[in-house]
Amino acid sequence: MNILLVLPILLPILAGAILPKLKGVNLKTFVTAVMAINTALVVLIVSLGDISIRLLSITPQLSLFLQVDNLSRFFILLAAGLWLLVTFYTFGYIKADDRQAGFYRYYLLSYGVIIGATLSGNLVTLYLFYEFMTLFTYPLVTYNGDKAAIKAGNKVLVYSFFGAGLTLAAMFFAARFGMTFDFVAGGTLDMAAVAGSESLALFLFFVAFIGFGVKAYIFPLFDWVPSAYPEVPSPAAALFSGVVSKVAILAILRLTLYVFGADFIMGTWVQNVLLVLTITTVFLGSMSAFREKLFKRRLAYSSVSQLSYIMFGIVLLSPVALLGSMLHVVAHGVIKVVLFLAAGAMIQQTGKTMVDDFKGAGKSMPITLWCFTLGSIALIGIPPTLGFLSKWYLAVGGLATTAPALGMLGAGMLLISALLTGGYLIPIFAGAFFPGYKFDYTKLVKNEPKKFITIPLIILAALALLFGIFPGILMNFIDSISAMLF
Amino acid sequence: MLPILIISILLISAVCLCFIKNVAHAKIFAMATYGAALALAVVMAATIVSDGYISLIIGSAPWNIEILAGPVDAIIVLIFTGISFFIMWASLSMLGHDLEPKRIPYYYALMSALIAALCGVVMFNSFFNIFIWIEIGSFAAAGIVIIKNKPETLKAGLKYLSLSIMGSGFMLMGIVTLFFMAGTTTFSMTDLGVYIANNFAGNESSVHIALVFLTIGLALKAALFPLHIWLPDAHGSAVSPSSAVLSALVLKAPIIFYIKILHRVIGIENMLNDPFLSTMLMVVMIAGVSAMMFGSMMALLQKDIKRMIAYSSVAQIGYIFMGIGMGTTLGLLAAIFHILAHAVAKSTLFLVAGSTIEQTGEKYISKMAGLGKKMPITMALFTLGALSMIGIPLFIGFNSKWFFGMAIVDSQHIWLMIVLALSAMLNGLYYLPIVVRAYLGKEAKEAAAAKINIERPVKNLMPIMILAGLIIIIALASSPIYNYIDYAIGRI
Repeated sequence: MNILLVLPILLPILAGAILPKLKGVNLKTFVTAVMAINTALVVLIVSLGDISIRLLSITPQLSLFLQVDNLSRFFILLAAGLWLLVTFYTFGYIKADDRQAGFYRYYLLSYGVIIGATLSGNLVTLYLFYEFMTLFTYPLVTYNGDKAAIKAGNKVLVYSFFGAGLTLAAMFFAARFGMTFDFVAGGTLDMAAVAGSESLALFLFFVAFIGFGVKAYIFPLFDWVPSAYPEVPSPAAALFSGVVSKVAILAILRLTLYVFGADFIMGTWVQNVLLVLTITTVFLGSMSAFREKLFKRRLAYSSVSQLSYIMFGIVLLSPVALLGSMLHVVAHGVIKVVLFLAAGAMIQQTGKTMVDDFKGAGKSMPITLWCFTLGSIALIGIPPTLGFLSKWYLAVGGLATTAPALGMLGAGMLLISALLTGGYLIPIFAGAFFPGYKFDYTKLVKNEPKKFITIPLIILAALALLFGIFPGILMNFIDSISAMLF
Repeated sequence: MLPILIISILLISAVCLCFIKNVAHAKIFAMATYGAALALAVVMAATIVSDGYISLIIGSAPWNIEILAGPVDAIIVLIFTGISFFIMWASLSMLGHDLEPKRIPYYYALMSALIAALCGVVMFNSFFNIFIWIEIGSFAAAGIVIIKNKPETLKAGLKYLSLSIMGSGFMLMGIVTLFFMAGTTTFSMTDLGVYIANNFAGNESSVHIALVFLTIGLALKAALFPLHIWLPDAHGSAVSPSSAVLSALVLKAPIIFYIKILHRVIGIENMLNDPFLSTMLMVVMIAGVSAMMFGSMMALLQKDIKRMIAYSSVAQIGYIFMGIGMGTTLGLLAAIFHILAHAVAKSTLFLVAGSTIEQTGEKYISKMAGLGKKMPITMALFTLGALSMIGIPLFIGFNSKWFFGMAIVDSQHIWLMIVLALSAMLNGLYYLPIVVRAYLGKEAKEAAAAKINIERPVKNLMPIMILAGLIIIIALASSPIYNYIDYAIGRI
């Protein structure tokens, strides 16, 4: 029964591997079938109970271990759900040329390893899928195939490998404390083994955190984000922001709460430094987004700040803050996918790339712009959207922390960042719907994208709203996770 | 008898091959020999796993034949015969490109002698025997470089041979020093080890001198930085199967010999406790670390793909000596595992490079752009090898990196972690751009549009595919290998 865990990882990987070799099979049908079967598999293993399987064990620390717990369920459902919806969008977005097969190959391969990352039962397995995530997403980053795209891809590669290398080095040293790196709620750090070298252990945690943080855009290692995102095809950009960065968040959650444990980090310099770093990132990201004129790069900077909301909540190490963080994982996951998909549709339909280029677009492509607007409102955090709820709990967590000064600073920064978020998103949709009295409406033609693009957008935008109105299931589920941790 | 059987089969075949004029017959005969050697090596490994050792002494000391094959030797002989079998299989379809047909039987003759010599170095226990095997190996190895019969290979081969002979000279001085120290009664490493264990006090200076000579001699033969100067020329200019054998196997025999000198003859306690010897160990480690850095940096600067891979070997040999120089069990374990890992990955890379050069006629890295579209299977294999070199998990290179990382944490030299990280980064810097440019960019687009396919037939690529497959299979199945090496290094 436990061997089932391998299936949702292997199926997309095998399907992706053989995909370009398939002759006479409709590509879209094939991808849809794989995604449908895999979604069913994901739902199946999520409902099977807490199962686990150790596939391989080279040394006690070096082993391949898959397991399902509530945290995996949370992330696997998010990843699989978003990936499924974006798949339909790609059918309307990716041009049917000879590179299409290549796109879907790596689309499926990336999907497989991300499912693998969510099911990882120890740090080594997670690291493995994490490295492969970098490798398999590389062809998606460089899909345009021009010089700029390759340059951006290489930058992503260097940063990602550097981050993963930091984590690996930290793991080598941490192995000395006899850690097995298996994920156990509350951490597996043996305090007796660490006694005398607590500061080293803390430093290792810090290094590993920063290492994983590279893909969650932590300051000072987010410089690759503004270079990469404008080059990435929009559905891939949506998934990078919505899912890939969340895998980094999952890795950080595992590292912090399932390997080292909250008690060990609480009140130490590491917690303070990480709080400062995340608060800095929130500000820098929002500010950069506010000043940025290139549409996709503005959204990318926005992700930089939003991801640090989540990390801020994790580092606060309290149930309330974690609730805010996890709600924000869902909120940002869904919303940023909406925004990137809408942005992609707008850019593709008009051929324009700057934020000021979409005046009057609300009249020519109303569905897209309404979804974008709904997403923007949710991201700013206006009730009753999910964005409001998550930030609320983050702020409450910040104010009720053991590091009062930094907590208060963080809560304040959330407010400033929310204002900035309004500042960089509202002008886009406001201009789209109210282009001003001088605007020449006669030039406008109906320019709504295909159904494949609009329907996933509508579903996702509706989800952002529905989760905000009915957050009960989500909150109960997150409470069941944090009950084990604190 | 198994060790004698393996070696005599190979040597007899070497002699016979000199008289076979028909190329096709020579190939069949040679492959049959290598297959038989591999089969015997498997049987020998099985015997050693069950019995512990195979030991055989013919004649009376000191001028006798003495064989002592233990667990480590079983592993290494298996690597030598196994990897060479696949490389030679791949060579069947590759040699015709570079060699005149009449030379091909001689090529296989030299190769048989070389593999015999490599196995001899590993399985014999007498310094006197090992010295002879190393000499035979040196000449045969220079032969498989020179046989290409181009001005540059002749030059490279002679450079290799002269430095190799110089190395032998140093070795000989070291061996003679030990021989006279123990009263000219024995060349047996085990006996000398017992002698040194009992009489180390009073004989320190002899041991010191011997070790210095042996270290220099073997470092020359194993191309340890800064004595690697012959390697890039020889490995870069030889026919690709030769490069693969030289890099993957020939460098490893002296390393195993060196490990035995440290552990079987001098004894690791003496190595660690004696101030001079421990400094020597440190020097070896530093040389290894410098090799890792220098080799990778030089590889970055190369324009010729095979020279790049050759410099990468300099760096990888550095890893192995770093592990040996740590003087710990974990370090040695990582080093021996890396011998295997490097043998598999490097032979894949050299054979792939040879395939691309054969198909395109271009040896420059810049000309490999877009090749992923023209030779999809070959470049996929190159990607596998490259990812292993960088140390991505699931590939054998990662297991090595992991074992080295664990060894470093366990040792006194934590700063080596930075070297390990830097070296992995440098590996990425020179391997990944080749992979990227093979699939992406202007040239790839043109190649895809033109639909040129110059892929070699799959049946010729088969052995390379098997080697590349081993990169993953061994990585996944390394648990028993790791445990066996762990068991084996207690019995050097």
